[in-house]
Amino acid sequence: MKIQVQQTDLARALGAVANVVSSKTTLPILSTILFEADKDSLTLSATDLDVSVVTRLSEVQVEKKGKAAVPAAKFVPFVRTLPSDPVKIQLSGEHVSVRSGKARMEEPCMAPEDFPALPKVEDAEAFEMPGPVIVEMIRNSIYAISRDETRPALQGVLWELTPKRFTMVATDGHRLARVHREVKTGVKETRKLIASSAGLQQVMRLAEAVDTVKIYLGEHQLSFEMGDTTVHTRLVEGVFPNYEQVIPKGNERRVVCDRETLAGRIRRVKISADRVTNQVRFGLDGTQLTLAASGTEGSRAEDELEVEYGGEPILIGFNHNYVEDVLKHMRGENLVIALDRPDSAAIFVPGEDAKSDVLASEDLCLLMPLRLND
Amino acid sequence: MVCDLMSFIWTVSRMNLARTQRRPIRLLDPECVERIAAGEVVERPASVVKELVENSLDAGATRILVRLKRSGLEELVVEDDGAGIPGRELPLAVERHATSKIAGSGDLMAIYSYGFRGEALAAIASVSRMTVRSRSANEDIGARIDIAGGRIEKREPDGRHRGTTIVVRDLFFNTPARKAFLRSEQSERRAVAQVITSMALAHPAVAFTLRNDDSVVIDLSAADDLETRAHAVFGAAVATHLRRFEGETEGLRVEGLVSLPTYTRGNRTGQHFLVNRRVIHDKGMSGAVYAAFRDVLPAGRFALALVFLEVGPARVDVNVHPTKAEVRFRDEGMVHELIRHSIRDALTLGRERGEVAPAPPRRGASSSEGQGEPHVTEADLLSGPTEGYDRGPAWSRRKESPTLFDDGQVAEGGTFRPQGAPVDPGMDPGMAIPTAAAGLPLFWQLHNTFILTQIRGALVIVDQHNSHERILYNEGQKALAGQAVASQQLLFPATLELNAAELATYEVHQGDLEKMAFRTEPFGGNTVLVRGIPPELRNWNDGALLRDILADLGDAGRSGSDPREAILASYACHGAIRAGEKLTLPEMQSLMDRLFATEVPYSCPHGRPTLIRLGLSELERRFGRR
Repeated sequence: MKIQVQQTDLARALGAVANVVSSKTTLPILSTILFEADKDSLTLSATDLDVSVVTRLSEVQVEKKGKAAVPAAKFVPFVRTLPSDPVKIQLSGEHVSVRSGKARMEEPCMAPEDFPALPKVEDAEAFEMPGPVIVEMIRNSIYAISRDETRPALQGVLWELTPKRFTMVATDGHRLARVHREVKTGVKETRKLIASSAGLQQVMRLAEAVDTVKIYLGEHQLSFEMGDTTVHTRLVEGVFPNYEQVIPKGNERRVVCDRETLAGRIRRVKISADRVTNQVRFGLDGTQLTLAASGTEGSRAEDELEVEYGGEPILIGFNHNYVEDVLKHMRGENLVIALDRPDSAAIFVPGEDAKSDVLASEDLCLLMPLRLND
Repeated sequence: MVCDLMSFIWTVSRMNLARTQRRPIRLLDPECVERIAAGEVVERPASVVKELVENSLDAGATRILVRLKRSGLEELVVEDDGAGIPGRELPLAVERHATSKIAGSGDLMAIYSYGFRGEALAAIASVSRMTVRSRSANEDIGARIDIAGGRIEKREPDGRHRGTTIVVRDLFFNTPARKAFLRSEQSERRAVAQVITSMALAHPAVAFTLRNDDSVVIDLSAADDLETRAHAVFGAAVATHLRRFEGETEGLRVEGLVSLPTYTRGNRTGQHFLVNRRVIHDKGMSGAVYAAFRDVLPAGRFALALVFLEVGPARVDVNVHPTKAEVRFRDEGMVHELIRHSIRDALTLGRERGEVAPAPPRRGASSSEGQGEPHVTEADLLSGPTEGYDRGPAWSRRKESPTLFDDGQVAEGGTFRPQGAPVDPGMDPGMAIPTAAAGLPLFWQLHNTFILTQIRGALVIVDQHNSHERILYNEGQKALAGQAVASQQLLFPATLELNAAELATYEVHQGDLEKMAFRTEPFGGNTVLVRGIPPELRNWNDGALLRDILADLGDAGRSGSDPREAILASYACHGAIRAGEKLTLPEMQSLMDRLFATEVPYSCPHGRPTLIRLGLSELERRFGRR
C-alpha cells in the first residue's frame, strides 16, 4: 500500500472512525483502524463489534493498492498534528510509515486478515431524514435510558415507525422520554425495534452536519448512511415495556413556567438536597411555585417563582437530577407540567398553553415522583 | 467447682452411710467445718492469688510480686510493700472471721474494701502449709508464723522490710478431694495470669510481677493511667485499636477501654469486668458489651473490653458469692444500658466530627517530605476522641506508627483478611474530606471494587460493597426508627408472584418494608404490586431484590432472630453496590461521605472491614526510607 492524501481529509476521516476504536486490550485487533486502498479511494473502518464506522475518502492518490490494520493510539494524534499538506502513507513489510515534509513516523501494523468482517448495508426498508432532526430526536430521548445492565432492552432506545411517524422512547423505570416527528418512513406496516445507545451516540456525533441521513432498517442491524460515512449498529434484543399504558391521560393540574427560571431555581435549591434521594419538593399554591430541599444533616433551602397555575394546592417531590435532565432537553422558553397526585407520574412538555393537548406533544417526558413517607 | 466438690462430698458420705451402720447425727468438729468452708473460697491457686492480692491492695501496696512453683501447686508466694500486719495481730489474722476491715454488721451495707468477711487467710491456712511474714510501718521488727492445716506451729520475729509475704505450700494437702479437681499446671498458670491481668488493669499505679518457676510471666511497672497499663498488657499493636469510653448516670459511673471492630478475638478472654475495682464475672455486663457490638462484629468474634463500673456501695451487693466473683445490682437494666450506650458512643464518630477540623492537604507529596517535619502519628488523629481526658494516653504519643498489617496481607495486593483486618482507629477526623490538592481526582477505583483515596498521612482503601452495605444498613435503621424516607415511585409497577411462604412473610412485614420505602400492596392471589422503592437502589432487578429479602426474612423467622435485623441485613446485602460495578467520581464521593456519616464506619453489618488505612510511615518503611 502506498498512497498520498491531504492531511485535512485524512484527519477528518480518522476523526470519524477513531471514536469507536476500543482502548481495551482484550482483542488487540480492535485497537486498530483498517486501511483499505483501492484503485482511487481509501476506506477506513473501525469497530468494537457492536458498532462499526466506515468512511471513504475519494480525494486520494493511490500508487499501490493494499490493506493494513494500523494501531490508532499513536497514529491518529500524530496525523492530527501534521500541517495541512499532503501526507504520504506507505506499508513496508509489517510497518506503516507516515510522512509529511520532514516529519515521519513508523508504526508496526497488524494483519488486516485478522480484522473482523464488517457488516454490509442490508437490503432492507430504508428512509431518509435531515441530519439535525435525527440528532435532536436522539438527544431528547437517549438521556432517559437505564444504566441497569440486567435490563438490556432499557439500555437502548425504542423505535416505533409508522408510515408517517417516527417515535423514539427511552425509560429507566423512573422517567420516560418520548420524542416523535412526522417523517415519511416508507414502512409498509408499523415496525418496532430497539436501537443500541452506543450506535445512536455515534450517529449523534456524525449526523449533525449532514443534510440527509439514510436509515436502513435491517433484520438484525441498523445502518446510517451519512455521505461518505456509514454507521452500523446491532439491534438490541428484548422486550420493551408497554410505555403507552403508563402515560397518564387525566393530568388536569397544569403549570406553565419559564424553563430557564425554573432551571436556575433548582440549581440553587438543590445545594441543600439530600445526597441519597436528591429530592426537591415542588409546592404549588396559587401562582407560586415553591421549591424546597432539605438534607439529612439539617441543611435546608427554599426559593420561589411565579408560574401560571389554576389548580388546587399540591406538594410533590422529584429527584432534581431528573428534572434538570428534562429541562435540558426541552425546546422553547416555556414548559407545561401536567400533574395529578403526589404519587403519580407528572408530564413535562414544551409550550405555553395550559390547555394544550400535552399527550400529542412532539417531545414529552414522564417523571415519577419521589414520595415522602407521611 | 464449688458445687462439684459439695456433691462429691455428699456422694462419698452417702456411700459411707450405705456401707456402714447408721451413725448418730453430730456436729462436725471445727477443723472439718473450716476445711469444707474453705472450699467455697479457695478452689485453685488462682483463687488463692486473688484473695492474697486483694489483701495486698487493701493494704495499700504499690508493688506486688507473685511467685509460683509448678503453677502454684507446689508453692505460691505473694509479696507486697503494703501496710503490714503488726506482730501481735498475726495469729488473729489467720483466725476465721477476723478482719480489720469492718467492725460490725452495719458496715456490710457499705463495703469499700476487697476483703471483709475475714475468712480468706483462715480458709487458705486451713488447706495448706502457710507462712506469713510481715512488718507494719510503726514496728521495728517483723514477725513470722508458720501454720499447717490451720494450726499455728511456729511463731518468731522476722527481719522483713515493711510489707507482707505469704507463702502457701502444698495447697490442699489435707483435702485430697479438692486436690483431685485441680487442672493441669498450664491451665492453673493461665488462670493465675488472668487474675493478675484483671487486677493490674484495675490498678495501673501498682507494679505487678508474676513469676512461674524461673520464668517471668507478667512484669508490669507502675503506670500513670489505664491506657499506659493497657498498652503494657496488650502490646503496641493492639493498643492502637483501643478507644476510651465513659458514661455516667444516677449513682453509676462506667469507664474503660474497648477495641474497635478492627481488633477482635475468637473468645472473651480479652474482656475484663470490674465493679468498684473488684474483678467479677457478670453475664449482664458482658451481655451489654455484646449488645454494643451487635451489628458491628461477626458472630463468634469479641472485642477487647475493660469495663470499670463504679457503683455506690449501697446499689450493689457483692456478698452473693463466696469468692465475690459475682455481684447483684439493684438496677441491672440501668447498668446494661449505661455500658452499652457508653461503648456505642465511643465507637461512634459523629460525636466529635464537628469539633475536629478537616485534615489540611499535606503540602508537597514529594519524596523528601517527612524528614525533619513533625511526624503525623495516629495520636494526632486520635486527638479528637481522647480530648477531655486530662491524663493523655501515653501510648498514643509514640512517634512511630504501628505496623498495621503483616507482610502477607500487603503482598496479596489489596485483598484483606476477612476478619479483624487492622485499620487504624485514628482516621476519622480527616476522613470525610479527602485532600483536593491541585485538582487531582480525589478517588480512584481499583478493579471496580476498591476505592483508593488519601487522607492526612495515609492511603485509605475502601471496599465499595462492604461500605455501601454499612450505609444502607444504617439508613435503613433510621427509616425503621421512623425517620421519613422518600420512595421513588415506579413508572412500571412491578408485580411479584410469591409462593405461600413468601406471601405469609410479606404480610407480616409489609409495614416495615413500607417504612423502608418499599411501597407495596397486595394485588390479589399471591401477587404483590410494588409501586415505589428506595431511591437510587441499584440492584432492584425488577423485584428480585424484594424476593431475596422475603426469602431471608423467612429464614430468619425460622431461626428466631430479630426480623427487623433480618430485613436490614438482607436489604443492605442485596441492595449494595457489588464488586465490579463502575462508579463515577461523584458516586465515590457520596459513598465516602455517607460512610463516614454512619455510626460505626469500620465494618459492614457482617463484621467485614469497610476500609484499610495504609500509613505513609508504613509505605516509607517498605520503600526503605526509614
